[in-house]
Amino acid sequence: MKRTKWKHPEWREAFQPLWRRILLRHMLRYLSLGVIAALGSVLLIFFLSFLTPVENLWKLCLLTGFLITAATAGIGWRKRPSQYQAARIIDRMGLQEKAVTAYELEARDDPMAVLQRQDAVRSLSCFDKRRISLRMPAKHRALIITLSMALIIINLIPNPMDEILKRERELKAEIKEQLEELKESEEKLTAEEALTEEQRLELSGLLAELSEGLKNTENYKEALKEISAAEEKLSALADRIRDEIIGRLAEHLALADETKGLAEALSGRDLAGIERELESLKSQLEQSDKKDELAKQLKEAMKKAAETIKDEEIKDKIMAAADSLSKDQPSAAVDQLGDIMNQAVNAGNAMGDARFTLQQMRSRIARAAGEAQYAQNTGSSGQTSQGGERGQGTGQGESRGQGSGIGEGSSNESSGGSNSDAGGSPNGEGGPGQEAAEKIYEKIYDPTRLGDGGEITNVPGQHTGSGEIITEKGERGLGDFSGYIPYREVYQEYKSEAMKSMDRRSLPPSIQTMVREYFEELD
Amino acid sequence: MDIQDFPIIVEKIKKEIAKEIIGLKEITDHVLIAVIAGGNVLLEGVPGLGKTRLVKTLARVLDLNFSRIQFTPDLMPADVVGTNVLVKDEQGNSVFRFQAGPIFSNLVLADEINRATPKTQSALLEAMQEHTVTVGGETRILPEPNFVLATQNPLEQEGTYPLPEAQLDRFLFKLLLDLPSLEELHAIINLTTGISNDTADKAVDAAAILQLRQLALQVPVAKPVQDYALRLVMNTHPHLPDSPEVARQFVRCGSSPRGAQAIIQSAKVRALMEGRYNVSFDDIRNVAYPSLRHRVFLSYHAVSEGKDSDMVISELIEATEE
Repeated sequence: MKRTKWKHPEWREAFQPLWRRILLRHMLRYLSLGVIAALGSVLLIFFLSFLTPVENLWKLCLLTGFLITAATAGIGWRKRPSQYQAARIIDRMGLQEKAVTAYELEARDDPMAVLQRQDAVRSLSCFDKRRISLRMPAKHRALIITLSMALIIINLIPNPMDEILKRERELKAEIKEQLEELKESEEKLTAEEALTEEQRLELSGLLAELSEGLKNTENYKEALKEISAAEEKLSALADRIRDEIIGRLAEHLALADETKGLAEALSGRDLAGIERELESLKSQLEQSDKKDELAKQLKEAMKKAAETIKDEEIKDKIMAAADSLSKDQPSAAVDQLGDIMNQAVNAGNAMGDARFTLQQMRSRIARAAGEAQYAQNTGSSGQTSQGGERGQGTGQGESRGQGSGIGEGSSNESSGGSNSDAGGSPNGEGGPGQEAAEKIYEKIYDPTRLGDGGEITNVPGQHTGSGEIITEKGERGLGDFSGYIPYREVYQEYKSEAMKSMDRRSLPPSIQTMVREYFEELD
Repeated sequence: MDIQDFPIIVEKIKKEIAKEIIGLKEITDHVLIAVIAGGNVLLEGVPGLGKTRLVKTLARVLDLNFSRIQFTPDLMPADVVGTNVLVKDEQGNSVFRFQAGPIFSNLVLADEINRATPKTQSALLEAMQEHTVTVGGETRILPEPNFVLATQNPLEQEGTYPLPEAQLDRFLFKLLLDLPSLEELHAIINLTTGISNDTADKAVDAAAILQLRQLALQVPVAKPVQDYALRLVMNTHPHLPDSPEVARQFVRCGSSPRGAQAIIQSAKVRALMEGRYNVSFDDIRNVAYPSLRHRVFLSYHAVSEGKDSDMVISELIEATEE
């Protein structure tokens, strides 16, 4: 029952102030209810924060509290007493239904209605407004005090989730930092001269995709997965670049009988074979009767190859080698060809830099997440899936990873500690390929071991035990990958670190079991 | 008469009655309410509590014709309403002439009404409800105002004829007279066993009573108040879907709509007697007991539990929200 107009001013003057006070009391009560509900909700959130990490707890609490109070106030306003209800409320305070009757009779002007209204106005005028108490009900007060106390107490209890949150924050900061570094790396990598425009674009797209993926990651696991996925794509790109260059070079070299062997060795990434064939070619160019014809054929093959290769640097080198042949400098031409071979085999090294960046990212994110074990786990699985691109041994001594190279006076498997095969002996003593392949390990990039040379241990096929362990003093090779060390070495350290870590940290038993099982499986 | 005079006049009546009636304040108030509202009253109490005295005093104060009918088992309806008797007219012809019975008074005291046979009791029905009497096919209007104030003794049940529900429903109020307190008894003894010149005088006349009744009819009842009264009456019915537990347990049959009429009608009078121009919840609650106690019929379960009507009504009031 709503009224739009007041017909009798004396009634309005007597009734309206009381009605307003009733409205105010009603709103204050709803407000106090809102505060109670808000405190209750905040308490609940705090309680939940002990079970699950809650980011920005205080902000969430403040926002929830504000919203609930506002919503309750809104409900209060919607349920505000009408004038009719207010009249009834006043009547309950001893007015014996004078107000509600006067309200109903307001439109009437018969003597009885006038008398009744006068009586009601008289009673309302004598009514002490303070009887409509604006004080918060005792129940509400008690509830607010109780909830506030509970809130204070719960705040004093150390929350184990705070540590998790701290780590998550650190992780996010790390991801952010890594994103910035990735941006810088992207600029550097895309400016790499060795890359064609198409490759540059592809690399740029890949890194942009990673960057976007990292921005949207919810936790470190997702971040690590994103990085692993990017690494796989990067490896595929590097493979493609390398295969393309080697393929084109080998194709043209295969046209001449004298360079067919070299082409085959190149196609097979047989570094020793390449070296052998180059020596042979050198001697033929210097001593053979047909050296002029051979030089001419070689020159033609090189020119044709140069025309098809997109890599400008290799192309220039091929042209320089061809030029050396024209100038009757076969030794220089063969050396230059060796360089070209080396470069072809190592083509895609720019991707190696990118991969290095990604590995660094993964390592730092994992460290920030306090889950180095997980990083190792996902990292190793990612690496395994990358196939043989990283010098993954097959037990046959084959090495075709980017770390391979032709060292000066050193064998390909140990030069500079960068180009050897961690998975199997180059002598092929590791055992059958299939069996060995199940336990093939690659080299792990370990930034703490950056250095040049050093003692490198090559572990042959692990399970058969028939292979011997070769330990050599390596020198720096052509590739700058001295930071790569055998997986096994890193693994042991990681394992022992993980076990120590478990003793130090309060890891849940289920996670501890998982970590132990993980290492047992690897063993 | 001005409406503002209403409480003054009522106060004057009460004051005069109080000269001869000691105590019985609430009974007096309720009798007055019934009289002004134009209803009949059933007074129940043991002998000697002043029922007859109250009615006589009331008749004197209100300046009304008063007749008393002592109900006995051999009392005939004609003894109450009157009869046609054969008389000689001025020409010497024998003609029937109506000899009005004692009911043709403004105020009729039907003393010990439950002693009369149902036939005689039912002779009162028309008079009480319609304020008319039909004898020999001719309906005669009773003088206004007209009230029946019946009394009955709750103790002596032998040789009595309990009033049927239909007749009970025609009483606006059923009032229960209690024993006076010691102080009241002292005052009664002093008044009745000594010489007292302070007798009740006429305070108003019949016309004033009718005017008071007209004024009372104008008193407004707010919707929630009327709603409350009607819900209270509805709650006396045990078979309705929303009836409260107390009604389901202890009530055999609830009040008729006359109960609601009685409540509203008498609440209006009470409001004016209190100097108010509107009916309040208190008025409703106050008149609910005398209006409903003879209209709410208790179940055997209630009787076995020692409940009386007032107890049940009290619980019904509690069960009815304002």
